[in-house]
Amino acid sequence: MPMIVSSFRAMAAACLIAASMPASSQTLERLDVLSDQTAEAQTGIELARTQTERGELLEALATIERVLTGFPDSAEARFNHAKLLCWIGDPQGALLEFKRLKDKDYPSHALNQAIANCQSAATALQP
Amino acid sequence: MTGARLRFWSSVGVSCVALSVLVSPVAAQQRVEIGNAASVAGDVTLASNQTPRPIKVERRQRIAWGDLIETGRHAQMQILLLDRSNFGIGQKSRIRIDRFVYDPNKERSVFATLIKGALRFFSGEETGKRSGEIATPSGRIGIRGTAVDVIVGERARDIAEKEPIGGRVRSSKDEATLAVLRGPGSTARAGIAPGRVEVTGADVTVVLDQPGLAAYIPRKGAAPIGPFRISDKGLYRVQDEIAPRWARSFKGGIPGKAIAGAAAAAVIGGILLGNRGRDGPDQNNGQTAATNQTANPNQGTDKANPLCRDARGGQIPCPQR
Repeated sequence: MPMIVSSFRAMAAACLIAASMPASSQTLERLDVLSDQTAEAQTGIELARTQTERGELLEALATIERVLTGFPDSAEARFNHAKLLCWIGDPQGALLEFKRLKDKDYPSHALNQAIANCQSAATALQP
Repeated sequence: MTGARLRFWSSVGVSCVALSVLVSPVAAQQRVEIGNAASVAGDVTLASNQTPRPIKVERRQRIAWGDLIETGRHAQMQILLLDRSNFGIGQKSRIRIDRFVYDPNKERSVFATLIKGALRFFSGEETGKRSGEIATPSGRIGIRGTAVDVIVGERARDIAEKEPIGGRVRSSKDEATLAVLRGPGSTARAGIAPGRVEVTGADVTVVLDQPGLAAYIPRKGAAPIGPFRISDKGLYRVQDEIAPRWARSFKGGIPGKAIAGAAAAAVIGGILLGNRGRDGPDQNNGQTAATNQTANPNQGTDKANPLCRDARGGQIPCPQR
Protein backbone atom coordinates (compact mmCIF):
# COMPACT_ATOMS: atom_id res chain seq x y z
CA MET A 1 0.00 0.00 0.00
CA PRO A 2 2.90 2.48 0.29
CA MET A 3 2.39 3.73 -3.26
CA ILE A 4 -1.27 4.34 -2.69
CA VAL A 5 -0.69 6.00 0.68
CA SER A 6 2.03 8.11 -0.82
CA SER A 7 -0.15 9.11 -3.75
CA PHE A 8 -3.01 9.85 -1.41
CA ARG A 9 -0.79 12.06 0.77
CA ALA A 10 0.54 13.84 -2.28
CA MET A 11 -2.96 14.42 -3.53
CA ALA A 12 -4.15 15.59 -0.11
CA ALA A 13 -1.24 18.05 0.03
CA ALA A 14 -2.01 19.22 -3.47
CA CYS A 15 -5.63 19.69 -2.44
CA LEU A 16 -4.61 21.96 0.43
CA ILE A 17 -2.57 24.07 -1.96
CA ALA A 18 -5.26 24.04 -4.58
CA ALA A 19 -7.84 25.11 -2.01
CA SER A 20 -6.01 28.39 -1.70
CA MET A 21 -6.10 28.91 -5.46
CA PRO A 22 -9.15 30.34 -7.15
CA ALA A 23 -8.91 27.89 -10.08
CA SER A 24 -12.44 26.60 -9.84
CA SER A 25 -13.96 29.99 -9.19
CA GLN A 26 -12.02 31.39 -12.15
CA THR A 27 -13.69 28.79 -14.30
CA LEU A 28 -17.11 29.66 -12.95
CA GLU A 29 -16.24 33.29 -13.48
CA ARG A 30 -15.53 32.50 -17.10
CA LEU A 31 -19.08 31.20 -17.34
CA ASP A 32 -20.25 34.49 -15.86
CA VAL A 33 -18.33 36.35 -18.55
CA LEU A 34 -20.09 34.29 -21.22
CA SER A 35 -23.39 35.07 -19.53
CA ASP A 36 -22.54 38.78 -19.34
CA GLN A 37 -21.74 38.87 -23.03
CA THR A 38 -25.26 37.74 -23.85
CA ALA A 39 -26.85 40.29 -21.55
CA GLU A 40 -26.66 42.64 -24.55
CA ALA A 41 -27.92 41.45 -27.92
CA GLN A 42 -25.05 42.76 -30.01
CA THR A 43 -22.22 41.44 -27.84
CA GLY A 44 -24.00 38.09 -27.66
CA ILE A 45 -24.31 37.92 -31.42
CA GLU A 46 -20.63 38.81 -31.75
CA LEU A 47 -19.73 36.01 -29.32
CA ALA A 48 -21.79 33.54 -31.34
CA ARG A 49 -20.03 34.68 -34.49
CA THR A 50 -16.63 34.07 -32.89
CA GLN A 51 -17.71 30.63 -31.69
CA THR A 52 -19.00 29.82 -35.16
CA GLU A 53 -15.65 30.79 -36.68
CA ARG A 54 -13.96 28.42 -34.23
CA GLY A 55 -16.33 25.64 -35.32
CA GLU A 56 -18.15 25.59 -31.97
CA LEU A 57 -21.59 25.50 -33.52
CA LEU A 58 -23.47 24.03 -30.57
CA GLU A 59 -21.96 26.63 -28.25
CA ALA A 60 -22.87 29.32 -30.76
CA LEU A 61 -26.45 28.07 -30.83
CA ALA A 62 -26.61 28.12 -27.06
CA THR A 63 -25.23 31.65 -27.08
CA ILE A 64 -27.86 32.84 -29.54
CA GLU A 65 -30.57 31.17 -27.45
CA ARG A 66 -29.41 33.17 -24.44
CA VAL A 67 -29.65 36.32 -26.53
CA LEU A 68 -33.15 35.34 -27.63
CA THR A 69 -34.17 34.77 -24.03
CA GLY A 70 -33.48 38.42 -23.31
CA PHE A 71 -34.22 39.82 -26.75
CA PRO A 72 -36.78 37.56 -28.43
CA ASP A 73 -37.54 40.24 -31.03
CA SER A 74 -33.93 40.55 -32.24
CA ALA A 75 -34.19 40.02 -35.98
CA GLU A 76 -30.47 39.35 -36.29
CA ALA A 77 -30.48 36.78 -33.49
CA ARG A 78 -33.52 35.04 -34.96
CA PHE A 79 -31.86 34.84 -38.36
CA ASN A 80 -28.59 33.55 -36.90
CA HIS A 81 -30.43 30.94 -34.87
CA ALA A 82 -32.13 29.53 -37.96
CA LYS A 83 -28.88 29.62 -39.90
CA LEU A 84 -27.02 27.79 -37.14
CA LEU A 85 -29.70 25.10 -37.03
CA CYS A 86 -29.07 24.57 -40.71
CA TRP A 87 -25.33 24.44 -40.17
CA ILE A 88 -25.65 21.74 -37.51
CA GLY A 89 -27.62 19.69 -39.99
CA ASP A 90 -31.19 20.32 -38.78
CA PRO A 91 -32.80 21.67 -41.96
CA GLN A 92 -36.34 20.94 -40.80
CA GLY A 93 -35.89 23.07 -37.70
CA ALA A 94 -34.02 25.74 -39.64
CA LEU A 95 -36.59 26.06 -42.42
CA LEU A 96 -39.44 26.24 -39.92
CA GLU A 97 -37.70 29.10 -38.15
CA PHE A 98 -36.96 30.91 -41.41
CA LYS A 99 -40.69 30.62 -42.14
CA ARG A 100 -41.43 32.71 -39.07
CA LEU A 101 -39.16 35.54 -40.13
CA LYS A 102 -40.31 38.61 -42.04
CA ASP A 103 -38.65 39.71 -45.29
CA LYS A 104 -38.88 43.35 -44.28
CA ASP A 105 -36.51 42.76 -41.33
CA TYR A 106 -33.61 41.71 -43.56
CA PRO A 107 -31.64 42.97 -46.53
CA SER A 108 -33.21 42.23 -49.87
CA HIS A 109 -33.19 38.54 -50.78
CA ALA A 110 -31.18 37.59 -47.66
CA LEU A 111 -33.96 35.43 -46.29
CA ASN A 112 -34.72 33.73 -49.58
CA GLN A 113 -31.05 33.09 -50.17
CA ALA A 114 -30.61 31.56 -46.71
CA ILE A 115 -33.65 29.34 -47.24
CA ALA A 116 -32.39 28.23 -50.64
CA ASN A 117 -28.96 27.44 -49.22
CA CYS A 118 -30.45 25.43 -46.40
CA GLN A 119 -32.76 23.50 -48.70
CA SER A 120 -29.98 22.64 -51.07
CA ALA A 121 -27.74 21.49 -48.22
CA ALA A 122 -30.56 19.30 -46.94
CA THR A 123 -31.39 17.74 -50.28
CA ALA A 124 -27.79 17.19 -51.29
CA LEU A 125 -27.67 13.92 -49.36
CA GLN A 126 -31.01 12.56 -50.50
CA PRO A 127 -30.71 9.38 -52.53
CA MET B 1 1.36 29.42 -15.91
CA THR B 2 2.38 26.82 -18.47
CA GLY B 3 -0.12 24.49 -20.12
CA ALA B 4 1.28 21.49 -18.28
CA ARG B 5 0.96 23.24 -14.92
CA LEU B 6 -2.53 24.37 -15.76
CA ARG B 7 -3.50 20.81 -16.65
CA PHE B 8 -1.93 19.53 -13.43
CA TRP B 9 -3.85 21.99 -11.26
CA SER B 10 -7.03 21.33 -13.20
CA SER B 11 -6.63 17.63 -12.48
CA VAL B 12 -5.89 18.36 -8.84
CA GLY B 13 -8.99 20.52 -8.62
CA VAL B 14 -11.24 17.87 -10.09
CA SER B 15 -9.66 15.13 -8.01
CA CYS B 16 -10.07 17.24 -4.89
CA VAL B 17 -13.74 17.65 -5.57
CA ALA B 18 -14.05 13.91 -6.08
CA LEU B 19 -11.98 13.13 -2.97
CA SER B 20 -13.87 15.55 -0.80
CA VAL B 21 -17.13 13.97 -1.82
CA LEU B 22 -15.78 10.49 -1.18
CA VAL B 23 -14.06 10.94 2.17
CA SER B 24 -16.08 13.50 4.01
CA PRO B 25 -19.24 12.40 5.83
CA VAL B 26 -20.63 15.88 5.51
CA ALA B 27 -19.61 16.22 1.89
CA ALA B 28 -23.00 15.15 0.71
CA GLN B 29 -24.40 18.23 2.39
CA GLN B 30 -21.90 20.61 0.78
CA ARG B 31 -22.62 22.40 -2.45
CA VAL B 32 -20.56 21.24 -5.41
CA GLU B 33 -20.95 24.09 -7.85
CA ILE B 34 -20.88 23.00 -11.44
CA GLY B 35 -22.24 25.89 -13.45
CA ASN B 36 -24.29 29.04 -13.50
CA ALA B 37 -27.64 30.39 -14.56
CA ALA B 38 -26.45 31.96 -17.79
CA SER B 39 -29.79 33.47 -18.72
CA VAL B 40 -33.05 33.80 -16.82
CA ALA B 41 -36.43 35.15 -17.85
CA GLY B 42 -39.60 35.03 -15.80
CA ASP B 43 -40.24 33.17 -12.59
CA VAL B 44 -37.44 30.67 -11.89
CA THR B 45 -36.69 29.19 -8.47
CA LEU B 46 -34.05 26.91 -7.00
CA ALA B 47 -34.26 24.59 -3.99
CA SER B 48 -31.50 22.46 -2.50
CA ASN B 49 -30.56 20.60 0.66
CA GLN B 50 -29.09 23.84 1.98
CA THR B 51 -32.05 25.96 0.95
CA PRO B 52 -35.12 23.72 1.02
CA ARG B 53 -37.26 26.83 0.71
CA PRO B 54 -37.05 27.86 -2.97
CA ILE B 55 -35.11 31.01 -3.76
CA LYS B 56 -35.57 33.18 -6.83
CA VAL B 57 -32.90 32.53 -9.44
CA GLU B 58 -31.07 35.51 -10.89
CA ARG B 59 -28.62 35.46 -13.75
CA ARG B 60 -25.15 34.26 -12.58
CA GLN B 61 -26.70 32.18 -9.79
CA ARG B 62 -24.38 29.25 -9.08
CA ILE B 63 -25.85 25.84 -9.80
CA ALA B 64 -24.74 22.78 -7.79
CA TRP B 65 -25.33 19.06 -7.64
CA GLY B 66 -28.78 18.24 -6.40
CA ASP B 67 -30.28 21.67 -7.05
CA LEU B 68 -33.91 21.49 -8.04
CA ILE B 69 -34.79 24.14 -10.62
CA GLU B 70 -38.37 25.10 -11.33
CA THR B 71 -39.72 27.49 -13.95
CA GLY B 72 -43.10 29.16 -14.09
CA ARG B 73 -45.44 29.90 -16.97
CA HIS B 74 -43.70 31.65 -19.87
CA ALA B 75 -40.42 31.45 -17.94
CA GLN B 76 -37.21 30.01 -19.26
CA MET B 77 -33.55 29.80 -18.32
CA GLN B 78 -30.26 28.38 -19.46
CA ILE B 79 -27.77 26.57 -17.24
CA LEU B 80 -24.19 26.67 -18.44
CA LEU B 81 -21.97 23.91 -17.06
CA LEU B 82 -18.20 23.98 -16.59
CA ASP B 83 -17.58 22.01 -19.77
CA ARG B 84 -19.81 24.50 -21.68
CA SER B 85 -22.61 21.99 -22.00
CA ASN B 86 -25.90 23.60 -21.30
CA PHE B 87 -29.48 22.98 -20.40
CA GLY B 88 -32.12 25.25 -21.85
CA ILE B 89 -35.11 24.89 -19.56
CA GLY B 90 -38.55 25.79 -20.83
CA GLN B 91 -41.70 26.90 -19.10
CA LYS B 92 -43.45 25.04 -16.28
CA SER B 93 -40.50 22.70 -15.86
CA ARG B 94 -38.81 20.97 -12.96
CA ILE B 95 -35.28 19.60 -13.34
CA ARG B 96 -32.52 18.38 -11.04
CA ILE B 97 -28.83 18.07 -11.93
CA ASP B 98 -27.99 14.79 -10.21
CA ARG B 99 -24.33 14.51 -11.05
CA PHE B 100 -21.70 16.18 -13.17
CA VAL B 101 -18.17 14.87 -13.54
CA TYR B 102 -15.68 17.04 -15.33
CA ASP B 103 -12.05 16.31 -15.94
CA PRO B 104 -10.92 18.70 -18.66
CA ASN B 105 -8.27 16.29 -19.89
CA LYS B 106 -10.19 13.05 -19.80
CA GLU B 107 -13.92 12.93 -19.61
CA ARG B 108 -17.10 14.63 -18.69
CA SER B 109 -20.49 13.23 -17.88
CA VAL B 110 -23.74 14.72 -16.76
CA PHE B 111 -26.79 13.10 -15.21
CA ALA B 112 -30.01 15.00 -14.75
CA THR B 113 -33.64 14.26 -14.04
CA LEU B 114 -36.38 16.05 -15.94
CA ILE B 115 -39.39 15.63 -13.69
CA LYS B 116 -41.71 17.66 -15.88
CA GLY B 117 -41.61 20.30 -18.58
CA ALA B 118 -39.24 21.05 -21.44
CA LEU B 119 -35.51 20.83 -21.82
CA ARG B 120 -32.96 21.39 -24.57
CA PHE B 121 -29.50 20.00 -24.02
CA PHE B 122 -26.41 21.03 -25.96
CA SER B 123 -23.16 19.16 -25.51
CA GLY B 124 -20.15 21.27 -24.67
CA GLU B 125 -16.46 20.90 -25.46
CA GLU B 126 -15.82 18.23 -28.04
CA THR B 127 -12.57 16.93 -26.57
CA GLY B 128 -12.30 13.85 -24.40
CA LYS B 129 -14.85 11.21 -23.59
CA ARG B 130 -18.35 12.60 -23.21
CA SER B 131 -21.57 11.09 -21.98
CA GLY B 132 -24.81 12.17 -20.47
CA GLU B 133 -28.11 10.84 -19.35
CA ILE B 134 -31.44 12.46 -18.66
CA ALA B 135 -33.86 10.45 -16.57
CA THR B 136 -37.58 11.07 -16.88
CA PRO B 137 -40.54 9.51 -15.05
CA SER B 138 -40.92 6.90 -17.79
CA GLY B 139 -37.43 6.26 -19.12
CA ARG B 140 -34.00 7.60 -19.75
CA ILE B 141 -32.27 9.37 -22.58
CA GLY B 142 -28.63 8.69 -23.27
CA ILE B 143 -26.79 11.52 -24.97
CA ARG B 144 -23.71 11.24 -27.14
CA GLY B 145 -22.46 14.67 -28.20
CA THR B 146 -25.62 16.24 -29.41
CA ALA B 147 -28.47 18.71 -29.31
CA VAL B 148 -31.68 17.15 -28.07
CA ASP B 149 -35.10 18.38 -27.00
CA VAL B 150 -37.03 16.53 -24.29
CA ILE B 151 -40.59 17.17 -23.16
CA VAL B 152 -42.12 15.43 -20.13
CA GLY B 153 -45.71 15.34 -18.93
CA GLU B 154 -48.95 16.70 -20.27
CA ARG B 155 -47.44 18.67 -23.13
CA ALA B 156 -45.45 15.63 -24.29
CA ARG B 157 -48.69 13.68 -24.39
CA ASP B 158 -50.53 16.49 -26.21
CA ILE B 159 -47.81 16.90 -28.82
CA ALA B 160 -47.42 13.15 -29.38
CA GLU B 161 -51.17 12.62 -29.70
CA LYS B 162 -51.22 14.97 -32.66
CA GLU B 163 -48.49 12.97 -34.38
CA PRO B 164 -49.40 9.92 -36.46
CA ILE B 165 -47.95 7.62 -33.78
CA GLY B 166 -49.80 9.01 -30.80
CA GLY B 167 -53.48 8.48 -31.37
CA ARG B 168 -53.99 4.98 -30.10
CA VAL B 169 -51.74 4.62 -27.09
CA ARG B 170 -52.54 5.06 -23.43
CA SER B 171 -50.42 7.91 -22.14
CA SER B 172 -49.80 9.27 -18.66
CA LYS B 173 -50.04 13.03 -18.30
CA ASP B 174 -47.29 12.93 -15.68
CA GLU B 175 -44.94 10.36 -17.19
CA ALA B 176 -45.16 10.77 -20.97
CA THR B 177 -41.76 11.56 -22.49
CA LEU B 178 -41.00 12.87 -25.96
CA ALA B 179 -37.42 13.21 -27.22
CA VAL B 180 -36.39 14.86 -30.49
CA LEU B 181 -32.85 14.85 -31.84
CA ARG B 182 -31.94 18.28 -33.22
CA GLY B 183 -28.38 17.70 -34.37
CA PRO B 184 -25.67 17.62 -35.40
CA GLY B 185 -26.79 15.78 -38.50
CA SER B 186 -25.05 14.33 -41.51
CA THR B 187 -25.36 17.65 -43.35
CA ALA B 188 -23.63 19.56 -40.57
CA ARG B 189 -20.57 21.61 -41.41
CA ALA B 190 -17.34 19.71 -41.61
CA GLY B 191 -15.63 18.78 -38.39
CA ILE B 192 -18.74 18.23 -36.30
CA ALA B 193 -19.46 14.69 -35.21
CA PRO B 194 -23.07 13.59 -35.76
CA GLY B 195 -25.17 13.45 -32.62
CA ARG B 196 -26.91 10.43 -31.27
CA VAL B 197 -29.55 9.81 -28.64
CA GLU B 198 -30.71 6.54 -27.09
CA VAL B 199 -34.22 6.58 -25.66
CA THR B 200 -34.87 3.72 -23.28
CA GLY B 201 -38.08 2.58 -21.63
CA ALA B 202 -38.97 -0.87 -20.34
CA ASP B 203 -35.59 -2.24 -21.42
CA VAL B 204 -36.19 -1.27 -25.03
CA THR B 205 -33.88 1.31 -26.58
CA VAL B 206 -34.63 3.39 -29.64
CA VAL B 207 -31.69 5.11 -31.30
CA LEU B 208 -32.13 8.56 -32.83
CA ASP B 209 -29.33 9.43 -35.21
CA GLN B 210 -30.80 12.04 -37.54
CA PRO B 211 -32.14 15.48 -36.64
CA GLY B 212 -35.93 15.50 -36.57
CA LEU B 213 -36.20 11.90 -35.47
CA ALA B 214 -38.22 11.44 -32.30
CA ALA B 215 -39.21 8.77 -29.82
CA TYR B 216 -42.14 8.76 -27.43
CA ILE B 217 -42.58 6.85 -24.18
CA PRO B 218 -46.25 7.12 -23.27
CA ARG B 219 -45.95 6.01 -19.64
CA LYS B 220 -43.74 4.24 -17.14
CA GLY B 221 -43.33 0.57 -18.01
CA ALA B 222 -43.96 1.15 -21.72
CA ALA B 223 -41.42 0.80 -24.48
CA PRO B 224 -40.56 3.83 -26.63
CA ILE B 225 -42.47 4.35 -29.85
CA GLY B 226 -40.22 5.29 -32.72
CA PRO B 227 -38.07 6.43 -34.20
CA PHE B 228 -40.46 8.58 -36.20
CA ARG B 229 -40.02 11.88 -37.95
CA ILE B 230 -41.75 14.63 -36.03
CA SER B 231 -44.12 16.78 -38.07
CA ASP B 232 -43.46 20.45 -38.72
CA LYS B 233 -46.26 21.47 -36.38
CA GLY B 234 -45.01 19.04 -33.76
CA LEU B 235 -41.57 20.61 -33.95
CA TYR B 236 -43.10 24.07 -33.61
CA ARG B 237 -44.90 22.93 -30.48
CA VAL B 238 -41.73 21.49 -29.01
CA GLN B 239 -39.85 24.70 -29.75
CA ASP B 240 -42.60 26.77 -28.18
CA GLU B 241 -42.37 24.84 -24.93
CA ILE B 242 -38.61 25.25 -24.74
CA ALA B 243 -38.46 28.91 -25.73
CA PRO B 244 -41.84 30.43 -24.85
CA ARG B 245 -40.62 34.02 -24.92
CA TRP B 246 -39.20 33.61 -28.39
CA ALA B 247 -42.36 31.84 -29.56
CA ARG B 248 -44.63 34.51 -28.10
CA SER B 249 -42.64 37.23 -29.83
CA PHE B 250 -44.04 36.08 -33.15
CA LYS B 251 -47.50 37.44 -33.74
CA GLY B 252 -49.95 34.86 -35.00
CA GLY B 253 -48.53 31.75 -33.36
CA ILE B 254 -47.62 28.69 -35.37
CA PRO B 255 -47.60 29.31 -39.14
CA GLY B 256 -50.36 27.37 -40.81
CA LYS B 257 -48.27 26.28 -43.73
CA ALA B 258 -44.65 25.37 -43.41
CA ILE B 259 -42.03 26.12 -46.03
CA ALA B 260 -42.44 23.64 -48.83
CA GLY B 261 -40.16 20.78 -48.08
CA ALA B 262 -39.21 21.68 -44.50
CA ALA B 263 -39.79 18.22 -43.13
CA ALA B 264 -39.57 16.60 -46.54
CA ALA B 265 -36.19 18.11 -47.22
CA ALA B 266 -34.98 16.70 -43.98
CA VAL B 267 -36.13 13.16 -44.69
CA ILE B 268 -33.51 10.96 -46.15
CA GLY B 269 -35.02 7.87 -47.63
CA GLY B 270 -38.67 8.68 -46.94
CA ILE B 271 -40.72 8.52 -43.77
CA LEU B 272 -38.85 6.69 -41.09
CA LEU B 273 -40.78 4.51 -38.74
CA GLY B 274 -39.14 2.04 -36.48
CA ASN B 275 -40.99 0.38 -33.71
CA ARG B 276 -44.49 0.66 -34.96
CA GLY B 277 -46.25 -1.95 -37.04
CA ARG B 278 -43.35 -4.35 -37.23
CA ASP B 279 -43.67 -8.03 -36.64
CA GLY B 280 -41.51 -9.72 -34.11
CA PRO B 281 -41.21 -10.62 -30.48
CA ASP B 282 -40.07 -7.11 -29.54
CA GLN B 283 -43.15 -5.38 -30.82
CA ASN B 284 -44.18 -3.75 -27.58
CA ASN B 285 -44.11 -0.14 -28.63
CA GLY B 286 -46.05 1.85 -26.16
CA GLN B 287 -47.37 -1.37 -24.69
CA THR B 288 -46.80 -2.38 -21.13
CA ALA B 289 -43.61 -4.38 -20.92
CA ALA B 290 -43.44 -7.89 -19.64
CA THR B 291 -42.88 -8.08 -15.90
CA ASN B 292 -39.19 -8.80 -16.34
CA GLN B 293 -38.77 -5.67 -18.46
CA THR B 294 -39.96 -3.06 -16.02
CA ALA B 295 -38.26 0.24 -16.73
CA ASN B 296 -36.07 1.61 -13.98
CA PRO B 297 -35.41 5.12 -15.18
CA ASN B 298 -33.32 6.47 -12.36
CA GLN B 299 -30.67 3.86 -12.02
CA GLY B 300 -29.10 4.23 -15.43
CA THR B 301 -27.94 0.63 -15.41
CA ASP B 302 -27.88 -1.76 -18.29
CA LYS B 303 -30.33 -4.61 -18.25
CA ALA B 304 -29.43 -7.97 -19.65
CA ASN B 305 -30.07 -8.21 -23.37
CA PRO B 306 -31.79 -4.89 -23.98
CA LEU B 307 -33.16 -4.25 -27.45
CA CYS B 308 -31.84 -1.45 -29.61
CA ARG B 309 -33.01 -0.23 -32.97
CA ASP B 310 -31.52 1.98 -35.61
CA ALA B 311 -33.27 4.81 -37.40
CA ARG B 312 -34.95 2.42 -39.81
CA GLY B 313 -36.29 0.20 -37.08
CA GLY B 314 -33.81 -2.62 -37.56
CA GLN B 315 -32.56 -4.38 -34.46
CA ILE B 316 -28.91 -3.60 -33.74
CA PRO B 317 -26.40 -4.42 -31.00
CA CYS B 318 -26.87 -2.03 -28.10
CA PRO B 319 -24.10 0.50 -27.61
CA GLN B 320 -21.83 0.13 -24.59
CA ARG B 321 -22.41 2.63 -21.80
